[in-house]
Amino acid sequence: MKNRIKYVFFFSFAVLILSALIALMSGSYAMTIGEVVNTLFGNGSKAQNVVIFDLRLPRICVAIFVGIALSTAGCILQGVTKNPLAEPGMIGINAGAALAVVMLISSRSTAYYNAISMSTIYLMPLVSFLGAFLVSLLIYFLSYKKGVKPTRLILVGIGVNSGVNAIITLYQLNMSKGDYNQAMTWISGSLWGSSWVYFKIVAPVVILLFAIVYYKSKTLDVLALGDELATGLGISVAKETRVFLVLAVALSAIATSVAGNIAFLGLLGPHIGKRLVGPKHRRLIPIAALISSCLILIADTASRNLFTPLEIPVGITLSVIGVPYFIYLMMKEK
Amino acid sequence: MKQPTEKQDIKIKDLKVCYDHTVVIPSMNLSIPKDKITMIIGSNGCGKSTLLKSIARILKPSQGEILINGTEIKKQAPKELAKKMAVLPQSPTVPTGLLVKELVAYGRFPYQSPLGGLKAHDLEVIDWAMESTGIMDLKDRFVDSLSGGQRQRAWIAMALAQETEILVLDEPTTYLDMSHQLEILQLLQKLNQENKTTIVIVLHELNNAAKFADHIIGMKDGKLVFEGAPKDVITAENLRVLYEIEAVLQISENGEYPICTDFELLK
Repeated sequence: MKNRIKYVFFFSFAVLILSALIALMSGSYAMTIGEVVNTLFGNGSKAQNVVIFDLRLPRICVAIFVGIALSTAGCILQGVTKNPLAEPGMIGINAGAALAVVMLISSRSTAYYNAISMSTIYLMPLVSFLGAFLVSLLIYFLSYKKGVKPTRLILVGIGVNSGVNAIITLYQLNMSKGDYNQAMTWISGSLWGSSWVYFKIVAPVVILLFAIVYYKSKTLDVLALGDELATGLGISVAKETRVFLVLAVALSAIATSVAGNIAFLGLLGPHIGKRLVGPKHRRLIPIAALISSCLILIADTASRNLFTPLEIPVGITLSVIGVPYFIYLMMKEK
Repeated sequence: MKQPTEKQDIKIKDLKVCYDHTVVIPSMNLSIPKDKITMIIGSNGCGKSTLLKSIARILKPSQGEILINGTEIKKQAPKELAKKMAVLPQSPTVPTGLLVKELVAYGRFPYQSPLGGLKAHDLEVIDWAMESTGIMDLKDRFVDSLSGGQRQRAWIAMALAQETEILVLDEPTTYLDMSHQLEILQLLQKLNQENKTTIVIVLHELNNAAKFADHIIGMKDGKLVFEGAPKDVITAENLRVLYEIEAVLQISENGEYPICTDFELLK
């Protein structure tokens, strides 16, 4: 078992490096692996430097952290709700963040994404968190009836999710065409235009939150045994559940603030991870994060290159993988 | 396993427990003897599980106090209390993909630091818990692949790994066949005799309760109807009140406990 886990870790890490390399190589300006390595070591031409350091590398780094954030949020939600289908994209948390950011972008009336002013970019994570937090509060209170029952939380979340998406659509209908397209791309989840600025916002927050969740991974294990046993083992279930929900909300919000509403990533990573290393969160959380990062990288590379010069939002590509998997899970559940 | 320094006992004072607006236990005073097996019996909905859940601090009482070793449970740190009292609920969630030894290791949670691994003593206790419940051979199996009886023993092993002086179990033998019921109860009896563990059980099978309990508590409508040694309290009269049945009782061959051989509903 111990060796198997090491093997799984090593293998996923290798896949991650490989997907990152492929992502660095492919695009409208194709590069060979030799050129990529050369450029990384500082021997690239001017054009190569721009492509690697200004465009592809920041995008890859942002993608990896978005993967980590959404996967960890998924692990938390599945553990706390004891529902294997729980995922930040499904119960409205991402949608709440998306709505807030769409409102922010449109209130600043920028026509194009990269024309968004610096102050807006720095505001986005905050606004996104606020949106995610408010929607989570709404879900929490709507599902509160002498404590929060996991099933009710999920059902209310799905309802709120459609409601919030409807409001987003309503909002979009009032936008100019340019804004509409930008908002649409963003809502579907896209890494287009990711820069080092985004990375600087995402990385520290995700690292911090990930570390907290990892530190509390044993509590998450015990919570998954059910409220009564967890209480018997010395956990204040209501309090810990709240803490974990806040962590999940923060993680989804920060991911959404830079990558839009990406669904299924928080479902796929944890599930594949669970099959590989079992349900103990100390192993599951890191491996799920690695897998989600691989998935978003591969999906993003595909989104950039499959229909060049058009780029499809990575969220759509992930949904193409995610929806069949989700249906498979639903059918497997009793 | 552990040499107890001070014995833990459970005292309940003026306890009132409500579900929403329904009063389940209006006012209860009770003392559960230490080092003994106490069984709580009563018909469905009499409040026995509610009482157990209140002791296990799963339910918050509206009024009154529950004292363990003289200190109110809500004044004790949850993890500290978890080192004194282990709780096994009626139908715990069965985790998928978890090995038996990993499940039993969860019993060490109250003793562990967040990032620390299992220490030599932890492993010793886990082995002891699996040994005494007879699941050593199953330790590398998945919990969800076990049969009902095996699973129940795995849960009990987890509770044992908590190294507590009090063990609280809610209907641990429900859904098990006769021989497995006996097996579980004998296991608990052995634990009680060897380690002086105070055991509190909610049980439905009257004859098993009478056979294995040192102390029986009969409850009806959230109130205490009787309490005492099985021989003294399992009487036709008491059962008439408790279950509204007319029971035919006889004493066991060794003369230690009563057996209900037949019963009719009261007309």
